[in-house]
Amino acid sequence: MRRGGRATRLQTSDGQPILPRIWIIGQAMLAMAVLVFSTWLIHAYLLHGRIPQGSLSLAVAFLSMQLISILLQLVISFSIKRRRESIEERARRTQPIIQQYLAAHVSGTDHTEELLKLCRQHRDQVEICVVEALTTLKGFGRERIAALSESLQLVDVWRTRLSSRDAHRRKEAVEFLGFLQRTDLRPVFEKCLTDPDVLVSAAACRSLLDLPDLPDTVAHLFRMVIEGPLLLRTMVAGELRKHALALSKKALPEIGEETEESHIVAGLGLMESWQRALHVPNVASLAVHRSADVRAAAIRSLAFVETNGDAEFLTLAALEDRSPEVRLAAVRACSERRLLPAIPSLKRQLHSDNEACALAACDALATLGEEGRGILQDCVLSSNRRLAARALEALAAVQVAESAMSA
Amino acid sequence: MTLDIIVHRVYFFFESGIIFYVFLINIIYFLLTAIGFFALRRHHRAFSAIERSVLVESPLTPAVSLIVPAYNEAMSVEHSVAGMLSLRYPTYEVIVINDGSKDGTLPILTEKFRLYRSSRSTEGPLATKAIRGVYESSDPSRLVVIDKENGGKADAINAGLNVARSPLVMVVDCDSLIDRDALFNIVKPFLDDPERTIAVGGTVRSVNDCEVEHGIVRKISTSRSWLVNFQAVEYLRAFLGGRVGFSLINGLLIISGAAGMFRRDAVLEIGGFDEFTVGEDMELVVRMHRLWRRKKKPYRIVYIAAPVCWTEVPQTSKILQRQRKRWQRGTVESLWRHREMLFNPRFGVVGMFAFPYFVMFEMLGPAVELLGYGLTIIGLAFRIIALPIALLFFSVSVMFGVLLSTSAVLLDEFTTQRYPSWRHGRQLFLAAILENFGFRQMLTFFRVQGLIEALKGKKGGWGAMERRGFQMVQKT
Repeated sequence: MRRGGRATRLQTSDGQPILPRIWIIGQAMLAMAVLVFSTWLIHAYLLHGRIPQGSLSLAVAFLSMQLISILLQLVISFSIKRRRESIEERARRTQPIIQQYLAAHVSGTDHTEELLKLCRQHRDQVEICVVEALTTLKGFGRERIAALSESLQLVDVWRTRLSSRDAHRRKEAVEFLGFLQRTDLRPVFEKCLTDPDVLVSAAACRSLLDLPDLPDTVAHLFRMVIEGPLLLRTMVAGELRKHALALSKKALPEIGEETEESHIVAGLGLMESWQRALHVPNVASLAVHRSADVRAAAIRSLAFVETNGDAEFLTLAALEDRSPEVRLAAVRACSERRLLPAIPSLKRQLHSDNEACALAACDALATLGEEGRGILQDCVLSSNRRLAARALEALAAVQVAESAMSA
Repeated sequence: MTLDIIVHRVYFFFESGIIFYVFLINIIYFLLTAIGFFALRRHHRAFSAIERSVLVESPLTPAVSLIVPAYNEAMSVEHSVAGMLSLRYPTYEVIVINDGSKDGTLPILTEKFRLYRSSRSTEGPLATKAIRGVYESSDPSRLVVIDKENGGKADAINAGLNVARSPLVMVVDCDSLIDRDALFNIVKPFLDDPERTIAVGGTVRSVNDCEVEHGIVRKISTSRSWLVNFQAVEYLRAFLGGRVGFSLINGLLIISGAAGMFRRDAVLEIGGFDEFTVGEDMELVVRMHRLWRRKKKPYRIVYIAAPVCWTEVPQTSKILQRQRKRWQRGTVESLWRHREMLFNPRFGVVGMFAFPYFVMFEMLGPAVELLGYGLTIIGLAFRIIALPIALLFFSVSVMFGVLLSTSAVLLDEFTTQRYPSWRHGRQLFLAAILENFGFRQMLTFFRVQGLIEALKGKKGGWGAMERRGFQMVQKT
């Protein structure tokens, strides 16, 4: 879907794009070539006549070049420090005044003129304060500041920043524009969804999700997110959760129609991470999918998602699945759904070849009432030390939880 | 041919060999620093404050277990654990392993964090020394303390790995403080490429004379001690220069024991940390390279430039000597154990570049440098070389060291910008110049001692360091 350029097609053995690496190594080589060439220039044009021995002249030239480089670095470093200190000083001086004007502006007094004047001299500081206000205020106050940022021409600045070569600046611009919550900016955000930097497209996603009344957009973004990398999913999962109910109507049931298994797993994973009771009947059909990864993800989701009554049956059936990953998911789902009929199967899982399943079965049984705990008490005396220890831990955890509840 | 001519020829053979060696090492150092510079300018992007708040809310942010091995850490354990419990990250637990301390580390933890005896299982796939007890905090914090018999640092980490339940584990030294946003930064490569990333290392910095409050570094400062400032520059040079370069080519052989994050399943797959080496951090990473290259599975071992951890560096040359000897022994042991990788094309860039670099320059470098000093003195004494030539050679070599150190300081200025004021910049630059006159030579001597100890087969347990403790640097 994204980033189909040559840079991603050419990859190193560790799966990373090769061209940026070559570019960086090339720049380093160039830096060395500059050092060597400058040394040769000093040797050939300044020292060669004065120092008769060639190698000696070259060494002195190299020494001089090193000294020049060090001095240059000193100057650059100190000017950076100086600049930063002056910016901090300016911020200390101007930010309280700007914040006062903004506070007064929010409460109704118009301070656009004063802020415009300040903006001409200290635009960075005004921008920082406006963004701070946008992130902290809600409702009317936010609308006032959003309108003000237009008057202060900050919106134009942010729009211009969208075409910056620096991904960090692009991301900032998308985030700041997103705080305005303006529907007319939707095309801008939609364009940014295809940005080569994942964090920029994640910011665009979040900004779009913040806009009101966009059910189609939400479905489109959900599809984009499940097709994208984990970083994108992680950055948008929280925001998508707010739209889970809307998604459960169309986008979530359509997960099963995806051809790519990894997309189905990603979609189900998102659904599971929300831990919301949603009605998505189609998930049930994925519990019998040919891919074990999809089956496991579907079973994990069944712990939270309502289907048409077959969730319990499917979860119990999955306890006997040939794939340990699916069995593990089923054991955990049994615990989440408090499935008492699963006790005999869970008891069998205690002696499973797969250790993760056996240990998870301990945790599950502890949550399934007296009968489950009775089985675990026998387990504590088992010769399998890891199982015995986990059984003890699970029993103790339930006891702690119960005493906390009664307290 | 007279004896005089033979001596001269042998002398010049060695001398030119050393000159070639110095030339080569400096080219590589320069290239690594330059790569670090350009790579960081391009890729240095930590999560912004807005993104961090998004990650806090995200249900997909991966859980992390911090594994903190502790041996006789009564001086610092309270502050470092308190700091670890107040990190900005949504889902993490702290597992402290008391490795049979004799100085009251456990009673301090029990009292300060209101520990109670827990039933948490310590059984796991890695064999360790006997566990005496597991404790959890009564406070609503995610602290687990394992009390076990003394078995060394690697054994303690393995016990922590058994107890950890999160997919990602971060090994942290108990004498270190974690940067408040460190977990977000160090988790980023795992989110970027979850399938391939198996380990991530972060930058370690000196905490001496910084302002610390409740285990969190509040104000960063350079030290009053020059020895500490020299080490601060040395850390910058090693981390921002060398490691960025090696990370770029996926040839990173060291992830600092003070701050490294690993995929738990990957560490378990290779059998955990090795108990029989003093450099368990390097040994683990080399073993990871070896196994994953053998399996021909794509993988990434990544370094991030964002500061992850703040550690107390030695304040006296005696402790510094002990630390560096130990580090050198660890390097030699790891390299010797995996010598099969040397110039072995099966191991790709690791076998053909990173490993030979470590053997030639990190392991043998100090010995060659010392030999160079010795030969120069002999040459001067027997008038084989002229004093101006020797001085010029020395100046070129030292000035190159100065150039690399000042580059590292400048690189820090461009990227993380952690030292805030003009005064700190001046002190660091001065340290970058002065460290080349005496300090570097002293380190060379310590490392040669370490090399000799390794060749003699000296073994070691915990690298105990005399500490002032964070409360000494804390200003309230």
